Amino acid sequence: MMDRRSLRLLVIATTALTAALLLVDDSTPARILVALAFALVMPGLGWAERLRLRDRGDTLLLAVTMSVCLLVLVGEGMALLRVWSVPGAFVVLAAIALLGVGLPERFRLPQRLRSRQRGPWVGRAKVPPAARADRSGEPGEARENQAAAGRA
Amino acid sequence: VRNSVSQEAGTVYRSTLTLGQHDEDVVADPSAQPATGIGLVRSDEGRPGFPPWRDDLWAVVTVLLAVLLWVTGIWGADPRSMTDIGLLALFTVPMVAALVILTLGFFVALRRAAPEWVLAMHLVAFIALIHGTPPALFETLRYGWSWKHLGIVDYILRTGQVDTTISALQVYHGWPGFFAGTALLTELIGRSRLEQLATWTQVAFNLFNLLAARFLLRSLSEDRRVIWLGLWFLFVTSWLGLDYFSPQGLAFPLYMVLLGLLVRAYRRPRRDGRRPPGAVMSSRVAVPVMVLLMLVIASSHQITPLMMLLALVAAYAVRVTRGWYIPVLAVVLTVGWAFVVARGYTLDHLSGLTIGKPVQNGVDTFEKSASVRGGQVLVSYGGRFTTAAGLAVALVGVYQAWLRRRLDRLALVLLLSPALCLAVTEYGGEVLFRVVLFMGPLMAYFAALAIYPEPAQTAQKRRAVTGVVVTAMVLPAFLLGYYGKDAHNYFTPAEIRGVGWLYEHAEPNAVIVVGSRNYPQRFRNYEKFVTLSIANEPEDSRNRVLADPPERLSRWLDAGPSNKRGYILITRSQKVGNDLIGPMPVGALDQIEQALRGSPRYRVAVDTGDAVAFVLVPEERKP
Repeated sequence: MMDRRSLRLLVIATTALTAALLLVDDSTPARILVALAFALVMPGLGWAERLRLRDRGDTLLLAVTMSVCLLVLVGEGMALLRVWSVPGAFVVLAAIALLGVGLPERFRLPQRLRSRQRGPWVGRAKVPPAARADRSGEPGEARENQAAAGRA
Repeated sequence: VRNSVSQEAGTVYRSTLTLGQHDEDVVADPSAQPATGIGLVRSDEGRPGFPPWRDDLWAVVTVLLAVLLWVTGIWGADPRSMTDIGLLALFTVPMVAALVILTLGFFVALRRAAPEWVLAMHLVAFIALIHGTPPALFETLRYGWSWKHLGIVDYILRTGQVDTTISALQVYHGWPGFFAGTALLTELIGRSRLEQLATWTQVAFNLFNLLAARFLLRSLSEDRRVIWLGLWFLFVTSWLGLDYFSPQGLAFPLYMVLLGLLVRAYRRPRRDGRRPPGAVMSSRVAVPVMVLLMLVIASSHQITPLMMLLALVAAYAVRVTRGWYIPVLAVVLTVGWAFVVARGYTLDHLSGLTIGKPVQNGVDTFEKSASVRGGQVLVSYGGRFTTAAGLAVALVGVYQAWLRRRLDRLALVLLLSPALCLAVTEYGGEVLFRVVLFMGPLMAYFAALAIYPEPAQTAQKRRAVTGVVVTAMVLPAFLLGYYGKDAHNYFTPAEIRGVGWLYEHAEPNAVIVVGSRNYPQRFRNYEKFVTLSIANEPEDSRNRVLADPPERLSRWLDAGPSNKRGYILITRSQKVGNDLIGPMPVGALDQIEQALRGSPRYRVAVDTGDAVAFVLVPEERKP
């Protein structure tokens, strides 16, 4: 799993690059790749990472899902309210993306909730809180859970 | 640490979970712990002198070989030479070999419990080959109705808004999520890229489906074989082609993610205290994402919100999920959107709901293919067989799970809930297709359970062979159903150029008479024209046109709402479509074109070879 600093750098770099390509009205294939990566992944990436799902595929899925949903809602809102503005939409999406990786760690799920991520029935199984966060069972997840709990 | 040895694969497997966690799992529910699952990975204690990475390397080589064979087999093919079985007519021996290799490679990897990336590689290759071939070969957007969706995006790009009171294609303005999102994405990547973006959307949506379905199946099972075999079955039975550039294509993966979150966060605890299978998540973490999903689904499509409501309400009603506010939120958002933002369309069409007529609604779907001819009859049966076979195997899975007292009631409810939609609407004669689409992921899950009903690692070879046999049975029918209609779903660049010219040069409010609706339709300035389709007229009206096309069609043009010059547009795909699926006799549109070309009352406005537009000469127009 990508560490938080690398994630932050990735989101900031992609957002900045997209802004630059939009400003110079670039029409090269690079714009397609960068803008697609920005619009379809970045707005949700930081927020998906905060969910601490422990599975890269699930984290990527929720990053894409949230990004697509935000893209749709921003576009829909502008079209319905008749305030269509590409720079405005970009600023909103960029702000959401940057907040996702920029807000302090305490905005992540509170410890009290994280320790209950397995649901109420788990309590009976006497599972250590760090091991409960996700029972998907990916190799090494328990160690990552413990490390995450330690950081918090 | 519990070890299990697969003699057939010659590989030793070992849990890599920490001892404490693993022990707790066993204490919590001994029966729920699979012998081979996500938590189990191959160890380094495999066959002496045969390092485990070599199996993975062989898997990479076989996938590359399959891709190479496929590309070699299709290279240089001419889409114009497709016959009445569509793209299947262009299949070559290397392409068939590629599918055989990919299938065998997948099941070998599944049997030896290969790492997830190896299994994923096979499915990504399958998606790239199957869904990437049409855009790569055709280089144009598939399906006539996709072009209509481009028209709505074009409207938003031109005007910066949607109009929920518009008369033309009002439904899309009432649920504009997909179109507004696409318009915004197009602005970001460059307006000139819209058609290119739309052409490749089908591949992107299928990759999205792969991730979303994996998320859903991982919430139902921890057995990696069940998860990946379920994904395999999902993609080899998804013949409907509803993953195209459309609101449905976007809403379907979102629906699967929503169900995955529901299962992970809101599944009720078992009465016996055993922990449920699959990954779990806190409801407080899941609910903001679920609300976001519900809002987008409710504002982007008409039938997906209905499917969503049915699933959420049914799951709560039969007490397999908790959280009363989840179905309530879904109802509020769906009904609220329909009666606030899209109220114009909703109020006008409420009477069109066919509530309480499930049989009739289902029959309406079958009637849509009643007029097909030649190879299209086979294509029609190919699709039906794929679904029937998938359902049959899934029923075996349900029975196997019931026999072992492992039947997951929540999964069963999610499998059956889409069928309730049959009792509500015919959805333009397509409801059965949509029901099959939404049942797909759970059908695939139960089909995988039919092959792997036990977590125990027994009879691996026999089970893998059974999976291969099921695939061999379903795959040809899938290809027939999925590719079989491509002869009329393909549009040549010359055809698109001709239609585009017309949409650029026709005056606002002009009448455009088309042979049928199977052409790259209404993709530019769509709201400015009135379109009439000969094929969609009642039979007696069509027959009058065929009896004397110049005379009858001149009346149509004169009967338009304005005195603007009208056009008659005949294209290659209209002819191919009519000749394959009707409703007019074979060659009817050729006959009309020849009659118009020979009539002194008409002249050709544009002719690109694959699209020709006629106009009445000036003296023939009404004053």
